[in-house]
Amino acid sequence: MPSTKKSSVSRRVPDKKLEVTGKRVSNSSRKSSKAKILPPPPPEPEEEEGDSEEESEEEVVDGSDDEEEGEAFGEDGYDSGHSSEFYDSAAEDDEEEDGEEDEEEEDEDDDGFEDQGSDSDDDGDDELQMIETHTPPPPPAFSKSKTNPRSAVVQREIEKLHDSATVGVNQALLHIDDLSSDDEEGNNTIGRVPLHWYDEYDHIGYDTSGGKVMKGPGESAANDGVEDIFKSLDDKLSASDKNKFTIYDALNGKEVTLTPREIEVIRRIQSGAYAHPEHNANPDYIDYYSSKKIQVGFNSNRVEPKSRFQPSKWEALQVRRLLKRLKDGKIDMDYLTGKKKSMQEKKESDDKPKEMWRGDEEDELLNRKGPTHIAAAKVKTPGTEESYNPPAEYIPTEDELKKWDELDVEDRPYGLLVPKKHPNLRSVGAYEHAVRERFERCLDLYLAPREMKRRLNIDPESLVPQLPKARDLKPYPTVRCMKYVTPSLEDGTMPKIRALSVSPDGQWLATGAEDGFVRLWEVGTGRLLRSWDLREKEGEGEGAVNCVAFNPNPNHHVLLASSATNCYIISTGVGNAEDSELTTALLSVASSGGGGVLSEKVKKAVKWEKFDRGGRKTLSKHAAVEGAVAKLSFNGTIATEGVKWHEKGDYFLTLTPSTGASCVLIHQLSKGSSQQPFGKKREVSAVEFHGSKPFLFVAGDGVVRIYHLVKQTMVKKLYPNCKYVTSMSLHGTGDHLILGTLDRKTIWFDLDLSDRPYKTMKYHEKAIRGVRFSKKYPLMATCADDGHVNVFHSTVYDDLMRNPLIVPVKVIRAHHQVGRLGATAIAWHPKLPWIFTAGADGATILWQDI
Amino acid sequence: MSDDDEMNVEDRGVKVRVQLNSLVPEYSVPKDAIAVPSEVRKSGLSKVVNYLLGNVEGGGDSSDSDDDSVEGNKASDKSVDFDFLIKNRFLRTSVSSYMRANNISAESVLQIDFVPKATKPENQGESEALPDWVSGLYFDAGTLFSACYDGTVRGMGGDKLEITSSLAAHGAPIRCIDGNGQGLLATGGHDQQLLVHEYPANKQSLATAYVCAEGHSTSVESVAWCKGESRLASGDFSGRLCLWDVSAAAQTSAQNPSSSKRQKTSSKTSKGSSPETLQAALSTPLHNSSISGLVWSSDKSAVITGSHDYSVRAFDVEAQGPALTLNSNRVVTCLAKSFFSDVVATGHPDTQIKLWDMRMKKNGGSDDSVITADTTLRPSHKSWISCISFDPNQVYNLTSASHDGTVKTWDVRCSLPLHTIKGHVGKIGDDGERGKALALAYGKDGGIYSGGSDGEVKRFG
Repeated sequence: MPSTKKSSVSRRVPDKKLEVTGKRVSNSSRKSSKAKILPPPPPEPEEEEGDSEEESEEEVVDGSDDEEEGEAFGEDGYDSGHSSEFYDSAAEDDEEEDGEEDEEEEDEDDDGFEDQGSDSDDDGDDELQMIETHTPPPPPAFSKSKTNPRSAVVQREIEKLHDSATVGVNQALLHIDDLSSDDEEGNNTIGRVPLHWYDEYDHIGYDTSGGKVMKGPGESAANDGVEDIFKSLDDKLSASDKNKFTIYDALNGKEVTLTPREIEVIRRIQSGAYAHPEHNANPDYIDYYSSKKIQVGFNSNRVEPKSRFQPSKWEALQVRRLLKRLKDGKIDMDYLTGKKKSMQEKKESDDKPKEMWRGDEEDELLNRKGPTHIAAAKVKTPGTEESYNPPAEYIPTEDELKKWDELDVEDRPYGLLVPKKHPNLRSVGAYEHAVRERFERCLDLYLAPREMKRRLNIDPESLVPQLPKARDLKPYPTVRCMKYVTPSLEDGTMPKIRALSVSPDGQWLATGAEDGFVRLWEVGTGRLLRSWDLREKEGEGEGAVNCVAFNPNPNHHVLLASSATNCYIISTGVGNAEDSELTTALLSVASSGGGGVLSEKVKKAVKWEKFDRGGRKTLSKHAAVEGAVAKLSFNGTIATEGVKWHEKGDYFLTLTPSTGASCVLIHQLSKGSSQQPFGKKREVSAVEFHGSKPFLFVAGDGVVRIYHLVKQTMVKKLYPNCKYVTSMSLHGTGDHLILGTLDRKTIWFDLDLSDRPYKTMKYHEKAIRGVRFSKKYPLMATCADDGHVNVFHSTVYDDLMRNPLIVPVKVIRAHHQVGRLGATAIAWHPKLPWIFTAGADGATILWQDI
Repeated sequence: MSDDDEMNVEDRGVKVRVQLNSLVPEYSVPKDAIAVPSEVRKSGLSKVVNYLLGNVEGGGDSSDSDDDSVEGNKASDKSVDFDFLIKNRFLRTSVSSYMRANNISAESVLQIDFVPKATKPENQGESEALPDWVSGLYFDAGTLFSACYDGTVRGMGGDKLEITSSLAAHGAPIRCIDGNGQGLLATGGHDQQLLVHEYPANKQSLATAYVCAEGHSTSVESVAWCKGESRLASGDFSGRLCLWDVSAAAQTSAQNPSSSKRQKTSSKTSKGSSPETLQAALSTPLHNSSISGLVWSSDKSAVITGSHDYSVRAFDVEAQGPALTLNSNRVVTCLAKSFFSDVVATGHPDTQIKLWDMRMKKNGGSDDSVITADTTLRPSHKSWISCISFDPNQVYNLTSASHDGTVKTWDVRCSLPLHTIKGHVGKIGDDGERGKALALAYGKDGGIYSGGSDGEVKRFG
């Protein structure tokens, strides 16, 4: 009877082994207790029996809890006495009582068959409880009092066993884990049925082969407990440990003797420790990650600063600030928690479309490594011509068909397809070219090299530098203002104008023409006032004037003009009496044939002569004006722009490129003398004086050399990276130089910046003939053989950190090309933003600003 | 017939009511408001007025449908062309577009004044071809004095502008000429000299009376007499302004008994002795660049100058300093003053003519810069404006000459020129050079004299 109850218990608990052992223990203890206390236990009240199930469950759970608890506290777990200290007995009691009360309430609902074994149940139940809880709780008010002595016996036995073995290292207890549920020895196959069903039989079930499992001797019908008593007495007498823990397995009808290991396991479970004796619950702690720093060096003894132990004021300030801003609504929690980077950015709302198909093939293709995926060329989508019933205009006529036949397949409008009309869809046959087209498509995909074309998505506007608008940079010349009409030659053609110069006060304009005349114009009216024939002999076409230059000194009314190998000094005769005297005095030496204080070298290169009019009268309408007074004849031809005045109006230099070392000569007008600054042969194409300092700029051999005229040394060398410099102009400040070259470049040098060009511009279509800075306005202009004059705004700053501002403001299509020449010369009006241009078409034009 | 026309007019559209008022008493019309088609222009209005005046027979001519027929109509012999003014501006558009432009309600009565239209000046004769460019003209009492680039001053008279007197005064081109109306004439030229010439009442002879010395060191570009007085001002290319007083010279010469001015001049005209040297009363660098225009103000206390340095200045003669400086944005090439007020017109190379109010500010000239030029007159010339002259007889009229060879007459109440005279547009020589109009002068009868680079002096009237 009681055994059926126990098996039912064992079936209910989750850990079967644990339960089985517990059950066995309870059995043995019961047996032992039976051996001690002879009178059989009185039948317990019925309430107890359901309780066993409930409580056993609870206790198992509790036990596992305890185990954890024990480990956590580092309790040794072997000593039951110690472990009991950690037990909350009061709680245990409460639970017990609760359970019992619950049972009482549920009592009436219980079904019949559990009631039957109630008499023996209390023992097992109590034993189980005692073992598992391991607590000697105060006896409950009912029914518990007599269980205590028995449990105490078991307790004592276990303690004894424990004492005999050393803690943890009892070799007898150590063995390989064989506690798996597979080794259950039971062979009864009846399953989970109440054992009392077999009370009336002499077997308790069936083994795996169908044979009856006979009841053990203790459970036989004849067994009335007397034999048990005897047996236990025998056991006691024999005092052998072997029989000491023998329990009866009611299910299998066997007596089982517990091994010492099993007892140890039970004991450990009771004490709440890990069941396996081999398990070391408290291994030696190895401090792998020590918080202690190993300090070395002099600072090892350093005292922590006080600030380490004080709350940070700065952080408090930050927190206060953030709170203030939060309160003001300047920031929100998303910003504080880092969900947004800045308050400007909108919170990533949920309405942002999610990538539903993320992880699809295409994405993987994009994300994968290796060469970029290039999608195959798309197949042409079918058009109307592929319809089964295309409109009439798609259907080819006979002629068209013939024509198509002659054409290559690729050139035909529809390729291989010939549109046809079908009466209905079902009459459309298979497409005869399907295979061929498919094959060609495959070939295409296979053979055609595909290449990713990288398209630069740059707004071309963004590449253009930010320049001010031209209309904000006014004034600059835009509109034709005056035309200076040169008399035409005998054959009706206009002589090409080669050179241009404006008087320093802006009243007069001098032009040099191919016909050998130098002409003087009144700027304001366009009136031709004077003209001087500089040809060697009258009527000969030789000797085009290629350079004219007004003396920059407003009191010296002197004009220099060069024609072929000669340079002429011309008194313009427009000055007042006082100036005229001055001019006459200045020219007195020159007009008498030069001072003659020339070195031998220079004497070879240049010859000062008195101008011989050659029997001609001057062509001026005012015959009183003498005009040219002196002539300097050179060995070589004077270059275009080969005559330049010094700012003060006494010195001038001439350039005759082909004459070797004497190509550059500096002349002094007042003394009528010349000097040769260079001893070495040079290829020189342009020369220029510095306005205020004794510097000479010489362009040639692909470089621009700057010489100091007083020290007679080279100061600087500029590398313009161009072929042939045709024109050179120095800014009024003397710090900027522009060059015009034959290879169409305009090169700007910032002399303070570098010996390389600050800017090289190439906009003319043909060779540049002249470059000029305006003296008064931040303007610059270039003229070229394409007939255009390009006007630039060019602000130069005193601040060394600011680069010059160069803005193209106007392209004046001033002249048309005659031969290979276009605009040949330019000159800025000295006081107004006006520019004079001269061209090969014979026109001399003044352009004004509007 | 008139009813039909009325119907037509009604069909054509909106009518506006106008009140016509003649500024010339001769053509006064009833003051009643009359309804005219809103699309009517000045020619249509002119017909209306002529109809009202009874110059035109029949109502059919009041319609402006076919101008040619009206022109050809014999009945229009009596009719006069009128010009119409609304709020003292000439009407050059249709009435409706004027009202639209000025936001005038179509229901209000429009006050329109009218005057007889100025007749186009016709060429009334020209002088014989002078040997060189004519750079300056001055008209005084029937005689026109012309300054030439050959340095000669010529007096011309009569309808055919016959040369009555000639004086080779300068050795270089003469740039400017002016007279005081009392027998004295001043010329300045490229030879940096300012010469004062004297001419007798019969204007048959010219003689240099004074040489203005040590004033100018560059070419004299402008000269102006204070009319009826002996003072004159001159400006040169460097921007220097010189003031001269002939009477002062006369006094000094009077102190010196050996050379009395009167004796001198009389003897000089007869004997050709050397003229007297005149010292500058004042010589000051007023401008940075050429003084291209010079005129005395109405109260004769200031000289108004226009210069290539963009500015127009009033130079106070008493205070010897600039009283007012107005800045243009262009070079001033010529300057003229109205005979009736201190309004000054300047010509510019960009073909603009600007009008300036040169009334002196007695209470501080701090707001000089606020005064800007009136640019009512739109650019109409095609080139550099070389000369401007106000009509001495009419308040609103002026004339301009340009390097494009034309002479244009203007009314300041209208932004477009009244007439364009192609005075000197012919070719000069065979170089393809076109003529330039360089000089202007008004005759006593409102005739316009112009001189140009073709060496001709022409009269238009």
